Amino acid sequence: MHIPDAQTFNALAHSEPDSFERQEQTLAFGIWVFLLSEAMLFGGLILAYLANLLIHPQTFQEGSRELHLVLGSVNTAVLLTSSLFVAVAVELVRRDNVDWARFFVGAALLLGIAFLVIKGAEYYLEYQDDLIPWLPSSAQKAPTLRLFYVFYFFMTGLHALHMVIGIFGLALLLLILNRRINGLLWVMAIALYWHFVDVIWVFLFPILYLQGRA
Amino acid sequence: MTRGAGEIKAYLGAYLALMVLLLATIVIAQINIGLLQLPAALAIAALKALLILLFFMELRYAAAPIKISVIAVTIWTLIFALLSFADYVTRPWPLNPTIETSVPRNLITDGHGGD
Repeated sequence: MHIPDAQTFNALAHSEPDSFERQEQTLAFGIWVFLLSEAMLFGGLILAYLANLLIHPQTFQEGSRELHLVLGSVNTAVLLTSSLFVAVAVELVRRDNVDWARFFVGAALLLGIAFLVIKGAEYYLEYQDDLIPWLPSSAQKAPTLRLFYVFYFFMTGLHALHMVIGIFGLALLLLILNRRINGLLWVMAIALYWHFVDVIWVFLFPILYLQGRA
Repeated sequence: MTRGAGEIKAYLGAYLALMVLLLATIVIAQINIGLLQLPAALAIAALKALLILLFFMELRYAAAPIKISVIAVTIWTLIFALLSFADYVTRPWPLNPTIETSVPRNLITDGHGGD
């Protein structure tokens, strides 16, 4: 791990307030603290879900088996690929290759929309199966099974909300790159957010979709 | 560590590893490994998250305060998990039928909707 020595640290602290390095450092730290607070939010939800999975193993596994594994797996791959594209775009902006950076941001944006479309299709199939716990049509299901779907819809819904914000972020990024504004700091901030939303899904996918499949 | 020219190659490597891990977690979920099912799924998820953090989010190049913050949040969440599950897995119902209790089990399970 590289820890800056006191001299470098002081130099940074006393550098021009608008020097790029200082802006980069403060922005990165701010974004990370924000993302880590979001991690605590999702972490609490995941913990509550896992505790209930332990208390009601059979019903929660039954609920998990009702979910569409193929759609969920494809969505995971879509999200991971979009993350790769965003990472490549950041590197291209660093190399001043704005045209290709724009291409990769656009591709990631389309993949983000594809994720939401697939997620929406899944929700519709679950609606047809009477699995939406707050609709009267699910009344004949066991209470613990409905509890599973409360967790499922709340966690994936909150994640989808983050995806929508991320997609707007990527659209803003396209605008910035189109106007050829020197936007490396914006690119980094939005990219970090996008990857974070990916990390959340990496945890949601196995605990929601992969229970009781053996 | 400093940024090199091989960044995009590193991203591609991380991406391939992520895809392999995604396949692995789906395959392992279909195999009956009993109680190891959930720990295995969570371990693979943690590994995937680590790859995204280190490579895509460039945590390996990040300043020390950022690394410390990430480690602190991870440990904090693990403390929450440890304390919560220390409670849940040592309760006599229905999770752990091996624990002796003088209270009739149907009373303990009542209201929990246990399976």
